[in-house]
Amino acid sequence: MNLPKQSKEIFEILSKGNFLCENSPLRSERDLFQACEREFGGHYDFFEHIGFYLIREDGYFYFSKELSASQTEDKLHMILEYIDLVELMLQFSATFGVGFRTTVRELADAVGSNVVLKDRLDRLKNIAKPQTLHAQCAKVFEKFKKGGFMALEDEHEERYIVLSSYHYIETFLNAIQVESNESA
Amino acid sequence: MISNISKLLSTLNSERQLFESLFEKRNRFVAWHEVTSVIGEDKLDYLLNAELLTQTDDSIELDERVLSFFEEFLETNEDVEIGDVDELLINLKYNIELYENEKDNEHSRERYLGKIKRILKKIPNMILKNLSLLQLHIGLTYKTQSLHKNKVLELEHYKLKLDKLMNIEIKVQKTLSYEESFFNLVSSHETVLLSLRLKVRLRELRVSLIELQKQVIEYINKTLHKQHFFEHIIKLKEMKSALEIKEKTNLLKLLQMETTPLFMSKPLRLSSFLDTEEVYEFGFSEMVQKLRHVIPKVKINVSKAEELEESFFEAEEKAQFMIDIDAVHEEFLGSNSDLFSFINAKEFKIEQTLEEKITLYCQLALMYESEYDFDETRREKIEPYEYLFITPKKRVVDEPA
Repeated sequence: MNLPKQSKEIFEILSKGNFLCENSPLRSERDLFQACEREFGGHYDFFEHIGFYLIREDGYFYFSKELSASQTEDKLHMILEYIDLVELMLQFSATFGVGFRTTVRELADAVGSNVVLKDRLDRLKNIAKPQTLHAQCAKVFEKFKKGGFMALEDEHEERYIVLSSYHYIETFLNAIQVESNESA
Repeated sequence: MISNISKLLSTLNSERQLFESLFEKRNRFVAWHEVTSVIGEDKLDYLLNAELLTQTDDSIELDERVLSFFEEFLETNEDVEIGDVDELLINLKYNIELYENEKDNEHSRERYLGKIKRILKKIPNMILKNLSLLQLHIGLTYKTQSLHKNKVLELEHYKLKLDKLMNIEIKVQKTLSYEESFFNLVSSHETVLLSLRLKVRLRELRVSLIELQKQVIEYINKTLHKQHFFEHIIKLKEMKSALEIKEKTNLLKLLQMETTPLFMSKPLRLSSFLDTEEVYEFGFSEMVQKLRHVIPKVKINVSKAEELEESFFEAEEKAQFMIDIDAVHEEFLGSNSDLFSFINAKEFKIEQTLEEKITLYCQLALMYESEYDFDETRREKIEPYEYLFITPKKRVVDEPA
């Protein structure tokens, strides 16, 4: 099997539970994405061999895992949490989606002048109430960043970019359909 | 009224600054006194009479004809005006017809031909202008319009205009081929050249038009998709708040079906008295960084107890003699004597004193009271004590006859 020399780095990123995104602000990650893309088949076979399922989606890669019952519960909580977070961001800007860029300051300003947003932000679970509104907003971004759906693009400006991996959340949430009572 | 070009130009020139500033402020409200403060009332009245300016209530603005001339010439008009091309086509047909009807007057024919040439030059320019305007607007709207509803509305609006522009383009093509006989017969080489050039130009424009149409449709779809997604999320959030989301949706099924990124499965749960939830929340590493300095680096020596002696672990046996009261009782039931005589006569493994025997006698009498007969009338003697005569109960009731 002929795998590129970057495979080790690819594995290191993916096996930590990170995504590999096409629009990562890091040049090195973009290159790794391209390398993974070029040799997808080879990588897939190789990683499958050692027990990791490489999943290729629109603009991002990740390792997938089968869930145990308790982990399903964890995932459920996470999904429910993201419903709140995504809703907040959409209230903030309807254009929120892959490629969307914004700064902590912009969100804080918007929240400062919009009670609806403020209310949403205050109700977010698992986000402690820090001293300042700015810090509170920063936590929202950190949450997305921790999930691998956003990346810090400019540290000084605190500007974040929404990564292609956000498609995962979007697709998942879109797939949730209300089941009609007739069929139930 | 100004009826000749030299008067018009000189008037425009003499009040150049006013026209300039009014043109710059064409999308704003300019009050009457603002203008009079610059040129005085008399001049203003003159310009109003000359129909170069118009007055509505208290505001002064450029006459529509002047304004559209400026805008058109400077290409600053941001509105897309497709109707104009249509108008041109009508004029083209009309002039061709006039030209064809006029057989004798060469001078008139020239005039018609001149108009036709002007129109032929104008058409592609106008289509191009509208196309580039549309392109600009569509891109700007998609990228900058933040109000979602308006974004869709504007994009739809431009799409409609674009469709119209495409129709016009087709119409121009048709007109050209319809009037082919004219272009074949016309003696003016220049006109023929213009018509051919127009055809080539149209082909180029069509490619761009189709491209732009694709783009606008994509933009609209993306925007609508977003709109749909937003509504979907709001619905999910409502259901979540009402705690219905698990029951009323396929969420639980999805959790099983969809692939899961590693981080979502949280495999590294540690069992500890610490609040592990906190560990997985963000901010934890920062907290650790902060607290690291608080924790002393030197290990505290824990004082240890001395080692235990080997002998401590050696097992020691200790035997104690105990009478199995239950067994004695059973044995007594089988005997025919009274309780004390039985105990007194019994041979124990260890010799019992009289006191010990009496203790045993009392214990048995108390414990198995219900199974013994106490003969109140008969008392036996064993020096220096006197004891009650106790025998096992006759088991008449227990044994069925």
